[in-house]
Amino acid sequence: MSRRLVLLMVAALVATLVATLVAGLGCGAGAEEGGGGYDLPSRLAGPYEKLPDDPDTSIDEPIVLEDPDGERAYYGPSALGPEDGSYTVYFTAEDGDGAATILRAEGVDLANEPREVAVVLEADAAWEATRLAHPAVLMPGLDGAAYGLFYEAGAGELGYADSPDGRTFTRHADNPILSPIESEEGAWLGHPTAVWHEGAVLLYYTAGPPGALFVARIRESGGGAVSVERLDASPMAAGRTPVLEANPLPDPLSELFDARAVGGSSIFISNEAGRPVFDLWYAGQRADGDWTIGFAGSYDGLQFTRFEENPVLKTGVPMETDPCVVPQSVSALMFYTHGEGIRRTIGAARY
Amino acid sequence: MVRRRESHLISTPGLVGLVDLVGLVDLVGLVGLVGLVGLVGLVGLVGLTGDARANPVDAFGISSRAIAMGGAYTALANDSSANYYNPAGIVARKDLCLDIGYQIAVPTLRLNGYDVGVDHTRGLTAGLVAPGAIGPMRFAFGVVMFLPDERISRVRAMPRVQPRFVYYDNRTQRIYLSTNLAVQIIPGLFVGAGVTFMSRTQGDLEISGRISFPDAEAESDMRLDLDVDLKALRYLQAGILWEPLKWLSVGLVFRDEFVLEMEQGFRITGDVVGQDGGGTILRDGLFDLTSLSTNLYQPRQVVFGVAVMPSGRWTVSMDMVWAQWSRFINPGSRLEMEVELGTFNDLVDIGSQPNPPAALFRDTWSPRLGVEFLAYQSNRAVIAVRGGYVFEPSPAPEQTSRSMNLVDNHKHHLSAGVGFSLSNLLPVMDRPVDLDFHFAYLHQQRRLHRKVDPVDPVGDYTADGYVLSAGVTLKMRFR
Repeated sequence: MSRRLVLLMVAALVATLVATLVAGLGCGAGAEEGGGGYDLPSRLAGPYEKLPDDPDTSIDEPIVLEDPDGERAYYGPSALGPEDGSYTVYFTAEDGDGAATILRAEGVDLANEPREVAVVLEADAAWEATRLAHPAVLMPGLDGAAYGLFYEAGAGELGYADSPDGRTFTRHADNPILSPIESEEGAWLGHPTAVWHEGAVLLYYTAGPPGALFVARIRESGGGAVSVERLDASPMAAGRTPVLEANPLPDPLSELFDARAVGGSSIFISNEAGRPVFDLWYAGQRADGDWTIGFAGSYDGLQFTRFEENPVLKTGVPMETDPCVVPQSVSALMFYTHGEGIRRTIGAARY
Repeated sequence: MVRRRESHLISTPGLVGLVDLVGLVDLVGLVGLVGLVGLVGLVGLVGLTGDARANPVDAFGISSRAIAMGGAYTALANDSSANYYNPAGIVARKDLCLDIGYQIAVPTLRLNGYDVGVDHTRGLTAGLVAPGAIGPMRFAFGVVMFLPDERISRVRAMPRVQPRFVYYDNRTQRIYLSTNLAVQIIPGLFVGAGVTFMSRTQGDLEISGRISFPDAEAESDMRLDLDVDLKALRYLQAGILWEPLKWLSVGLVFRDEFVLEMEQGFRITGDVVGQDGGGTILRDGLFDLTSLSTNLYQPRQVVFGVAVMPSGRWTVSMDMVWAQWSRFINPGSRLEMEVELGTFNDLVDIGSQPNPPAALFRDTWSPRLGVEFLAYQSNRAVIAVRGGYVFEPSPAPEQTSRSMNLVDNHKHHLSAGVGFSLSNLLPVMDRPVDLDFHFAYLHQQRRLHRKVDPVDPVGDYTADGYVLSAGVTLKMRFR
């Protein structure tokens, strides 16, 4: 018996030592620098760094989408992905006459020209005039559609369309689904961004002039119809309060990046700890007229607090607006409108 | 011209004190020794020493038998692991005891479901118990150590708002060495105390001299002084072990608080002079920055343990651990800045950095339970199987503030092990040789952290995870 026990002991000792050694070697990779700091939680608020110039790519970073003929302005991105390392980006293409359509770029991999660019929606209805702009893609769409698309059209109204494949869209019968109420919002609406929350779609949009962010709740009411409810960020106050407006402090001539107006936003809801947290990236206009991008957060989707370290996209050109942020666990990619002079393209920045 | 000076000052009051203590044995005799050990323990118990233990052993335990029994070892410890679990236990047996082993703990700790890569801990364990007697008075000297095989010690400071698992972080990344002395007061009643030390780092960087303006490269004459001290800190533990009956033992252990601080100073002094004989623009300018952060904290602990052996085959032990986490210090750095630029003072605004907020940790009570069953017994061999459970409540509150992310969870330890004890294995070994194995699973209960500030840069998050550990200990005893 004792001989067997000795053998058993030796075998167990060797096995344990080998196991601990193998485990130790296998886990030793991160120990040299001192672990505990990988993949840390973050709101992804900012700062965002524009894609650096890379001579090995065929694009002109930070620009990732531009008209190859240089005739049309590209702006107002709304992105999906990544899938297989690339994004699908919906955006506006506007010619010199102000006529605008919504395009879809497939295979935006931040290194090469997109694999395919195609028109997905052109102005058709009378209220749309010749201009469809600022698409906001939503997955899934209303009434079980695979894709939904909110857009700005005509003189400043919002429409909706849906699609089974993200390529061919059908307009909603109730279009325009949102028209401006001039007394409380302004003369025009635009820059929609949408997110699902508690069984309804929250549609954030810009109203102006000069530019403030409002929100409406859209519910499916059966048979393809929808009900639209405009929400008030401060129900106790007189009149309807936007969720975000030009920063009133300390004076209109201040250096605050959003002292004159706000607009063009991107909404995202996270739910890491059992409650919704609203992340809103938005464009702000300084007193001198330049635009750049900041961040605000909220727990109810109505009352937003500005990020102390705004703006989150380091300025470089006079117009950086229309943010669309695609969070990816502990990092994020921001597409935005990159404007230099009269030229508008779509740029990208990383967090 | 740059002058560089480095000085390394290591003082070892703890070690000197221990040597002195041993040397006193012949002088003060039996009564004096008992009194001295008791006094050391009493000093520790009333908390007059400002230093205490900080080591990976608190987090994962030491010695396979003890870990397999959930660390409920205060009333059982009588081998070299008693140097940690109960210093009084080193004198409970008359054998010279030599232990050696290896253990590893691999954490998978997650925030929002992502493993943040907390370092694992692995290394060699070794211990010695050397008994002796002066007349009827038995005493024993013991030492035990955990020697990591990757780093001896780690000192680092992280951004104040960075989430971190405070229970592990630097705590497990260091060498552990404990030395103890114990005496038998009367048969069955033992007391022991330990004194050891840790190093504390203090560094200062001073730049002084003359800076030319506007071209600082032209006529500047600066001197650099770097002064780093490693200062030893003592810490203490003491214990009592009472074996009133053959089947019953009771233990009480005290471990003191330990704070390892990191102090860094940065100072620039000098004159600013105009180039090409332009005269003195600023005389005796000064910028002084001092950063003080807590690199490591270990709470004061009191452990009460009971062990019963209801039959010759069963041993059941239970410990209750009180840990004074309410004195935990936020590890964020405290900055002190002083600027003296004469007439230019009004042009400089360097702002201020508020001190980190209080951590608001709570004291904890942690129960430990261990069971051992002798599954096989013969004249030449014994096989024991063991199991243990520990609940360790988290001292940390929910992390709601913007500037604090000290993450910790409630912890459930489940452990198991097997031990082989062989007698007459070799002619030269007249005492049994023990080979113990342990495996442990530590479950970190999932916890939510919700922020008050809607633009908190970290945001809400969840924390959970587990730690797997295993090890082996070989114990050899000699008459």
